[in-house]
Amino acid sequence: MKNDMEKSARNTRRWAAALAGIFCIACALAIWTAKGGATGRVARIYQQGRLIEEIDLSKVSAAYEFTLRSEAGANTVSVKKGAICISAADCADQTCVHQGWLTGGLAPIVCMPHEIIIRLESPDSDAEFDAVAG
Amino acid sequence: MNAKSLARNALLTALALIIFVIEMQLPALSPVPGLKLGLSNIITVYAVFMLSPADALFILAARILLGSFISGNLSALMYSAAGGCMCYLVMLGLSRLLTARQMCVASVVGAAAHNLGQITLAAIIARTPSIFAYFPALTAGGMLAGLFTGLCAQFMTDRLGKTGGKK
Repeated sequence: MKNDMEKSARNTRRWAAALAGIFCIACALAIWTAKGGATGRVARIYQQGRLIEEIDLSKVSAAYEFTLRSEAGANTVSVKKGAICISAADCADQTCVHQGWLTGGLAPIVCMPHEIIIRLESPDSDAEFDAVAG
Repeated sequence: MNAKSLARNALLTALALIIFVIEMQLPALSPVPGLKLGLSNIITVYAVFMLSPADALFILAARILLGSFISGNLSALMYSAAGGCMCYLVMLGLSRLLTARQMCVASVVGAAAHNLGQITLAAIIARTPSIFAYFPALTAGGMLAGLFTGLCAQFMTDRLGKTGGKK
């Protein structure tokens, strides 16, 4: 019985060490995706996998906003120099609004209910979906 | 399913839904989409380890379905279901390898699996792999949340053990 308990404790420690390792790797990768990557200046807005808007954020002088509408719902997109965000949405979960201003990194703003993705890409890169959608 | 286990499963489902509704009132804890504490997972972890696989699946499925009716966020139903299935299968597998004293381990891995299921479905629906940029943050956050819910499930099991809450 005591032997079993010791074995189980050793087993738990092994699991804990492995999981702590995975956690550290995930944290490092999370920082990399937030800070690193090819930080482009062109914001590309995709709706249902199709490129619908392209905005060069370095050329925005005055902040403005516009609304994207589809049969799924509406999202208000705000743009200022070097940053873009979804400032309002008529969905239940408001996830895209909580994501705040997108200024760099690899991670896009996503609105799953309305299938909208906003990514920052380098100006000379091809739009991700044209080949697929075309 | 006899009357006793039906009553117990219904009670656990109701508990999971109450936890779900309370968590719904909390503000979003992080800007990472899809990341949350997942407190109703406490009940799932408990059920996977202490009840039969069918009972655990019944409680999980009822909670996901009724939870989406309560929140009125039906588009979230698919993601909860995809994540819930992954989490259930992984924890069920781990419950064969681990003892009930090691619930936390299964909960941590299960939470990471939940997020993997969710993000995979999101990438398929949105037709873009770029969503996987959130995978590391979701994994790290999910593991912390899983550790917390696993500890809660552990405490719950310890308390219920004294009053004969077992099969």
